[in-house]
Amino acid sequence: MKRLVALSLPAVAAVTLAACGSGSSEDTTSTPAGTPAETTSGGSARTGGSLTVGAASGIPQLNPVLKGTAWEEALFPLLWDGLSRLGPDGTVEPDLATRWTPSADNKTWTFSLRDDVRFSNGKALTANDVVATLKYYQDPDTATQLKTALEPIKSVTASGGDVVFRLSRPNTLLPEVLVPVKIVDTDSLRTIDREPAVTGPFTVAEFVPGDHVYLRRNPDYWGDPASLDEIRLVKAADSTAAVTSLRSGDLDALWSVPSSDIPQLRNEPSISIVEPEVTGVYVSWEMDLSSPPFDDVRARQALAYATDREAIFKAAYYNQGLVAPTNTPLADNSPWFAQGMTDYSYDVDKARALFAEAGVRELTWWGVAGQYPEWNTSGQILQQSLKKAGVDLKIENRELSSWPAKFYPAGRRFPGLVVPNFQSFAPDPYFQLSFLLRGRCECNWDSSEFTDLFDEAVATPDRDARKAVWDRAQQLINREVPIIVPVQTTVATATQKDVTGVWVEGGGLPHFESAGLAE
Amino acid sequence: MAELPVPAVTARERLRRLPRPSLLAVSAGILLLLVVLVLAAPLVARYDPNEQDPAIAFAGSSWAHWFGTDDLGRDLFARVLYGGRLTLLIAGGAVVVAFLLGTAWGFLAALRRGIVDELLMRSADALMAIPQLLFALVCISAFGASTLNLALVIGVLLAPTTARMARTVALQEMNRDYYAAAVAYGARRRRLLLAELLPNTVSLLAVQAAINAASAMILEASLSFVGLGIQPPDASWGTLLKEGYQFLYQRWEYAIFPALAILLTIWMLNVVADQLGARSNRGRA
Repeated sequence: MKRLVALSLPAVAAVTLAACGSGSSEDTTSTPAGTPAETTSGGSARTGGSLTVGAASGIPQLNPVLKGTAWEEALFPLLWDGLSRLGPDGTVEPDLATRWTPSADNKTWTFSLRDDVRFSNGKALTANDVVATLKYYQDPDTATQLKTALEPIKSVTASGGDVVFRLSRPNTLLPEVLVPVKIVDTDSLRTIDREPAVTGPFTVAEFVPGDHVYLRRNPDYWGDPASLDEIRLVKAADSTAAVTSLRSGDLDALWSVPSSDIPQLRNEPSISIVEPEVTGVYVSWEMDLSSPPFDDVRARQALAYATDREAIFKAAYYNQGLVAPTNTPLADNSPWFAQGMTDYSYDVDKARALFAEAGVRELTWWGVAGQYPEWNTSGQILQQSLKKAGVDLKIENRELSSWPAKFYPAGRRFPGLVVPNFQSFAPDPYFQLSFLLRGRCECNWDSSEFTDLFDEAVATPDRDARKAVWDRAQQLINREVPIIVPVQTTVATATQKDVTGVWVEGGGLPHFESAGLAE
Repeated sequence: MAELPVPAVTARERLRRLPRPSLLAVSAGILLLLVVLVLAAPLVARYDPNEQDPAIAFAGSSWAHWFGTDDLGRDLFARVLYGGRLTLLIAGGAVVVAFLLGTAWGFLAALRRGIVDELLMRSADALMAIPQLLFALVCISAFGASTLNLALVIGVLLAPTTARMARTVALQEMNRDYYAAAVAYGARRRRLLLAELLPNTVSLLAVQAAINAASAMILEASLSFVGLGIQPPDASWGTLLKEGYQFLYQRWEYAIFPALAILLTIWMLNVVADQLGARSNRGRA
């Protein structure tokens, strides 16, 4: 079921790019200005050993094209490769491609493939596999979250060892766009959950959906062989149990450490917290802009003023990340952050006046039951703030499976609801802001001005010129308030001190490809 | 005649000679105390249970805040007291629903016998075969988590057990002389039910009610633990336990107090049910 897979949603995201400029093979013209990610100790690692990585959720399936949750995506770089990939320094680098070349108008891109790659079933990787994979991604029956990102690709053709992409409009960022696209053997999709044919540094030894995946080193990997013999990705009963397992040493690493535990874990001598320098994770409270009361910009601005960001940052997110007073997705420590925007810091008087003008008396917080405690806390803080502004907020927490049915996918009406969510992307504005495009955001924001600015930015190769366009897009978001962004937060990974080579992308995705155990 | 010396009675001996309160009285007394405490919450608690004060978040136990404060700076003692009101209200409501529905169900089966009895009891068996928590989760997901819905759903879930008990005790009573005399006298079915059966079975049904109350509290706490119980900012003991569980490493007291309240109440309810059952059996022997 397409929708069920795509509903992922709290973790809607996790697109994996972090570079700020465009791609970077030796002959590209753009400037990689990536976001350096923090890594665990770079000390020398011994060969061999096993790493047990835990999370509070399980991995339900292995097909990287059908990715539904952010945690699944942590698995995919261990098994599959793309044409391009993200390096620990945040730059986009060649992976299965050796180089890429854009045409003068940035509408045709040619990727040259490595000739020494084989799938684990023995089949040699060819340009036809890349073409077939892209067709599979773009097939209307394929439930992939990358549909919107890949929509500008008009055609993909094989030409010897090259793959040629033709785009419907200029795009200077195609290598970045393709990072999350993993090349699969489309001929063996039927067995992908039992015996996947992979090209990455590990192969699947055992998979129990929703519980664990055991990986072993791929002896035929085309790149530098992995240090570890084995990686075990396991599910903990819940986040509290997961932290206990990490503390006791049962887990070597834990993904998505609860914010409330991070301050204490930082003081543990045997544990390291790995997180990106510039985060790509932002909290998004979505409203339906196509129906009252939030079709009125005053109601949205009022909600922005009624959001006590400092209190939420402290009580719900334990000071992990940054407060977002300008209500825009990009963090203010991002090199792409725009200046000259309205400050929506908590102001109950302004909120009361704007709510009164817009005629808003009551709203509903539509959250998830039993999960995301930070949402529950945020909702209660907002409830108290709104009460002071003369608005009643009813909190309704629903079971996760029924939660998105009200508002997902984009196009649904959910008048008067405030739906907490979060987005995790690379810190680059292309990804951070793409969520607000028409048809993508469940908020139903339909701004042709924003779409035009977005297209203009993507087609602008010069970094400074592109930044000027992104600035205007952010200023528009700041004025129109299509979503509420109270904070930018981080998705941290914790490891034992003897684990080396782990790094985390801006969107919080951990990388264990080069992980090892210290000697 | 020399008087025999009267041995001195020690304080310990005096204490030993005092009439001992029964286990039933002790457990019922503790329950009563808990009920009075939570009913008197507005008088006992010095703070609004939902009033946030971020400046004192996670404050430890003190004279100002006996149980400390939670992550939003709310007084935990007040929240436990007010939470107890909702927990007991839901449990009480569920017990009433289960009693009314289950007793009618069981008595009807006993009185009509035959195919009606079979149909009613097999349907009770079928309902009892469904995992209670799963059934409650589905219902609450569908209808929403209000106090009324929680009491109704939990009450309906406990009704089949009550129905089985009601049928069994009704059949026992129907074999007694007083019942045969009433039938011979020509009493109508309504009189048989309300004037003969109900008064003579109510003590045994009270035992079931006490057991139901304990089960209702466990179900409510379980639903709250998965976030489908009482909705914020209000809280029940189950909700508080869930919230506290997230902060075990920061403030273990957060989870301990609601856990103790649940434990103590369910324990006492079970003791009361046990003692009532024993007394009732002795009375019939």
